[in-house]
This record gives sequence, structure tokens and C-alpha cells, in this order.
Amino acid sequence: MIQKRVPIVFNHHLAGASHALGFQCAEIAREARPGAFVMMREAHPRGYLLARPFSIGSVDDDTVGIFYDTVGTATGAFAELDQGDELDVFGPLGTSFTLETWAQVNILVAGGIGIAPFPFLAVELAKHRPQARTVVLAGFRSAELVVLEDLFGEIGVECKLATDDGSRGHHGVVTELLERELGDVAARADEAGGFGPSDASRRPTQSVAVYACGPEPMLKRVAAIAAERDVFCELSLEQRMACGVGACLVCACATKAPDGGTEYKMVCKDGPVLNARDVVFE
Amino acid sequence: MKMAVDIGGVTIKNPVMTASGTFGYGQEYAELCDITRLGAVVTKGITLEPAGGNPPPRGCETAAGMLNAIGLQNVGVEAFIDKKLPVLRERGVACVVNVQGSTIDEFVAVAKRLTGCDGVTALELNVSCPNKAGGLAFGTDPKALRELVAAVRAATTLPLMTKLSPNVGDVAECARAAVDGGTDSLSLINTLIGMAVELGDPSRGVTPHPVLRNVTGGLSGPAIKPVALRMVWEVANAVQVPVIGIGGIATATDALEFLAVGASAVQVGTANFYNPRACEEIVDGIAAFMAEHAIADINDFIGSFEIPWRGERRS
Repeated sequence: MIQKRVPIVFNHHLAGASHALGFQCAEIAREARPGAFVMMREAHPRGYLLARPFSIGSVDDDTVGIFYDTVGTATGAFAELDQGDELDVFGPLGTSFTLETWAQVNILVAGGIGIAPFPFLAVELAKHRPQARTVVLAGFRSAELVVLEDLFGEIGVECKLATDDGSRGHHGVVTELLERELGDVAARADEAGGFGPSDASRRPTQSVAVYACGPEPMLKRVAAIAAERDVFCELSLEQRMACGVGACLVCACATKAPDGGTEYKMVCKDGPVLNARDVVFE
Repeated sequence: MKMAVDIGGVTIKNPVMTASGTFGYGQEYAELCDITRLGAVVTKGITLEPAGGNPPPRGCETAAGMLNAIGLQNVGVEAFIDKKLPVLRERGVACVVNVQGSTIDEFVAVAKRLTGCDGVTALELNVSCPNKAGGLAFGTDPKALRELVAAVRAATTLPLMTKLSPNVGDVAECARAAVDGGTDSLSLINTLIGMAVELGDPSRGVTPHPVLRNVTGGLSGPAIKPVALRMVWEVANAVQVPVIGIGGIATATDALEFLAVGASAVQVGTANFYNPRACEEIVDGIAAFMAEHAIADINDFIGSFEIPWRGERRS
């Protein structure tokens, strides 16, 4: 974990409330893992106190990129910062997505700015699992709010869209795209007689990995879809945080306890990435 | 330069401690802060059995502060002794264990269990948690407070610090009750009860609602510092035992203000969250102030506050 005052390299508007910000920090860039996050605050905060958590969205040499929506005082202040302005950051923090799976198809499901950790994840999956295909399924409210589509194009990852109003891509919610995608994977596997000789003993669904980040109703549905099909699924959770290191116990999330009941874990320390099987939704 | 202070039956190497609930069990910040430089670490509130805490959302930022309603999630006294205490002991950090219970018997049982455990410097009785049913009862009723402190006093030889609630009419009366019960020192203030409201989206049927699941929470941070200073000043003038100042302390200047009005030491809370090095910076800042003003012993500065136009001076 690194704590440092760092300069902003870029900070620009993407679409709607969404922005991209990069800061220079070789140490965090080196230790970054997809799904992990950083706590970030202006060197001289304007109108707020606490650092805010952001998923690491990209790593380019010694530049760490994050993608954020302006939703309140702190993120509103971030949007006004320029190249060269300074941030106090510490990280990387928390758990990260599992890169070493048996999956031949990685499906990344995003709702809105929940797409934030996925450019970095897509790059790392390509490195760790070059033989696997990765597809991003991204839901937005409407066409003018779509972000990062071109970035996934540069990375070489297919990006399928869904919009609530049907102005781009599938007219509906992104979890419908996920069901369709899982159906396609299963159909293709049937045609090919499974996933090949080495995979003969495994069910096709075990060769799919689903990673999801977005609003809670979306995550709940993704978890249910993955459970129905017995698909490996990890969720990146979000909760209000104060400290980011497991001290304040603010960012509680309900999880399945070993005794069958529920117990609170900390999104900052035990998460933000948890296996979908372990999360208890209301 | 002498920075050691007596906090009631025990001396710590400097007057800067962490406040309960803001520093976990000490390990959480080990990579971000040199905890061996602190006067003491005050732990998260410990109960007899492990406790799960409140459902989320448990906290939110407010103007110059934050609200929390954690609900005393903790590992319980046995796991604390097994897994958490040894780490602080090995690093040689003084450890004040914040003790919480919902009955006198539970406070007594936790205190007894911790008595004789190597590495426990003192106990802080949490009689003022606003986020737990009954947690405030002891802290707001002087008679109940005196009984509780007396019962724990009889059960342990460890130095006892009693953490007072600001959610009372007369904090000095509560302070005197705790002293009558046999506390060695007083720490104050705990959080002020507050709430935050989300306006929702009334035209779409989302009515205004609480931000916190618990509806109300405890307010901390710079917003409460003036209230804390006033109460510490009142209590320091009302009792003879050491007083530990808590409430919105984020800088050495803040800490020195509390020492000036009579606090023997301070606890740093919310500032740890946004500046993990806050405690270290405060230790350095106090030393720099002492050097600048030729103060050889911090105890000479404690209580040096005067009101010139009243000719009043403490002690």
C-alpha cells in the first residue's frame, strides 16, 4: 500500500456525468490489480473531508487511470481539477478479480459507471488468459451516456451495449444481454460437442467467468443468473466508505456466514470484489 | 523535552492517542502510520461476545464531519486477546481497550477478562455509544454511571478511563459521578447524536428518507470541536482526575487547544480516516510548538488557558 501526493496527468469529461482522470504514481501502477481501488482526495479539499474510493480503471506505464461520475461535492470538485493539480492518494486497496480461471469466455457486465474497473480487467485477462475470449456487456440509461466503448475497441475487446430507452444497442437492461450471451455460449459448446477433449469432464458453464460491477439491483440479478447456471461470478461492490482500510467499519455488506446465517464484511477490506455466491442481497 | 503525561494511574510517552472506533485494532493503519510513535492506541469497543453491527448504510459525510452508526461491530473479547492484542504488544504500543456492554455484568465480565492480560495499558469504559440500544443509558444518568464505574472499579486493577457523552444537559455532573464511582480519568466527548436526510425524488414517489439505515448516528469531525473544547474545559475545572480531550482534533493546533484548557492528553478520531498520518503529525507538531516556545515539559503547558478579563486561571 502506497500513500503519496501525486500530480494529475489528465482529467477530462467523457459523457453525461462521467469523467476520466489519470494521476502519476509508479508505485501504485506497479502494485495495481484489476478490481482493487484507491482512496483519493484533493491535496487541498474544497468543501469535504473524507477521501473517496475509486476502482483502478487503467494502468499505462506509471499513470493510474480512474473513471468517475460527478455525484456530489468531492467528485464535483475533482471534475474541476487540471493537469498538474495534486491529489493525496493511497492504495491499491482491497481484493481484486480472479484472473486465473478455467474460463474460455470472460463476460464483463457493467451498469453505468460500474464499467470503471473493466478496461484494466480486460487488459489483464488478455495477458493472463490469451486463449480466452472476453466480451463486455455495458448498460446505460441512453445513448448519450455511453462511455469507454472506443477504449474497449482499442484493447481489442468486443463491447455490446444495452440502453434503458433503446437509443443504442439492446433495448432493455444489461442482464438480458448476459442471459443471451450465456445462451449463445452454451449453444456453441453444444455444436462443438463441448469445449474440446481436455474439457470433456466439465460442464460448458464452468468454462465461463462472469465479472460484474454496477448498481445493486443489477448485481443481484447477475448473481441470480450465474447461480442458476452454476457459472463462476465475481462482483465488485460499492458502499459509502470513510477509511478504506477496514478501521471505521462503515462500508458493511451482508455475506453468507459459515453457520448459514449472515455476517457483515467490509467492502474495503474483504471486498470490493467478492464471489457472487457469498453476497446476501436484500 | 518531556512529552510524557499521566492519564490516570498510568503514564504514556506522549499525549496523542487514537480514538476508539477510528483506528480498528491498530493493525489496519500499520502500513500508513508508525503506530509506535503514538502515546497509545485506543481499540474499537470490545464486548463479551462478537457483535455484528448495524446494517448499511452505516456512515456518511456531513459538513465538516461525518455521521456513523456502526453498532459496535467487534470480534469479542476472546478473539481480541488471542488475535489483536499480541500485535500491539509485540510492537510495544500502549493499548487502551475500549470496553462496551449492555449491562453492568457484561462490562464487569469484559473488564475482568482483560485484567492481567499482558499488553493492556488501561480500560476505557464506553458508557456513551449513541448507536446501540441502552448504550447511552449509563452515560446520561449520573446515578447509573456511578454504579457502573464502581462495579468495574471493584472488578479490575487496571487504570479506568470513562468516556463521557456530550448528549447531556450537565456534563460536569456526569464527570463527578464517574469520579465518585472511582474512575482514574475521563475522556470526552463521544459523538453527538445527529441525522442526515436524503430528499429523494418526491415526484417519482421516492419520499424524503434517512441516509443511515439506523436513522440517527454519531456526529464526529471538525464540526464538533468547539462543543468538545467547551465540555473539556468545563470538566477539567470540575474534577481533579486527568481529562482526555476528544472531538474534531485534526492538527497539532487543535490538540494544543485541548491541552491548554486542561486536557492531559487527546484522542484523534475522524482525522485518521482522511489523513492516516494525522496522529504522527500531531506528535511532531506538539514537539515543534514546545521547541518554539521553550516549553521543557508539556505538563507545564497543560491547563495554562486563562481568561484575562476575568482573572480566572485553572489550578
